[in-house]
Amino acid sequence: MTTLLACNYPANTETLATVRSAVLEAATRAGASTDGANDIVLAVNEACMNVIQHGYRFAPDKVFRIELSTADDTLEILLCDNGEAVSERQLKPRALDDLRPGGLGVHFIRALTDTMAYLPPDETWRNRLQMRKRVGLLAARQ
Amino acid sequence: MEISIREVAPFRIVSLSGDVDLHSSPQARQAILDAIKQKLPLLVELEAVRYMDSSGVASLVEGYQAARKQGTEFGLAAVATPVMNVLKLARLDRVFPIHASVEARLTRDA
Repeated sequence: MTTLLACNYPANTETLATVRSAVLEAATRAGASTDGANDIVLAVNEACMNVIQHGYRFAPDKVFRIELSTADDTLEILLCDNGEAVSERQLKPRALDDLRPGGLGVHFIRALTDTMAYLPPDETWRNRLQMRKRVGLLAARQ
Repeated sequence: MEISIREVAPFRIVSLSGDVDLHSSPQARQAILDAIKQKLPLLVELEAVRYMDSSGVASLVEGYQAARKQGTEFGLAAVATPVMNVLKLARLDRVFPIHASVEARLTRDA
């Protein structure tokens, strides 16, 4: 396994630009094309937004962690936080025909990754969202 | 993100640039809704937007719905590629009126 990014970030909206920059760099190092790397940036950004908005409800002084790694032609992203526990129900995207502001984040993540799932909590983090994408698909994306 | 607002009769034009994300989209949303309250036809120019997330998309949807509710025109103009990509992902490229440029919309009825 090759670790490309492992970093804690303050859970606030100002952080998002820094996260996007770090994820773009890491996804590119993993072999993603420009469009492929941008897909991963969008997916991770949406997941971080969910943590800040719904997990921590914009509370100050909270932290989340992002890890990006590759193994066996798979890019794996792990997003960890200690916000409110997330249920599987909240991972269901809304119907796109239902035109209303909001609710698109999960749809974006599902569309841009191969799999997304919550892993069991560990001793440090309550929520551990795992997203995976085949590197070959990211490299060929244009 | 930067916002500039201009009027080219009869339109009000809200131009967004930079990153429209969870940090900046509340300002974009407010500028769009304020413009709609003026009851002028509105174009949101997106040529210089480098990045837009779902909160930015939500601001556009809210503006579109508010304009429709009061019966005024709402359209997007000069949509940058990163924005078009997220609109397509949300299948909203089929919902919003999208113009190649502000000028293209202005001259359409000339």
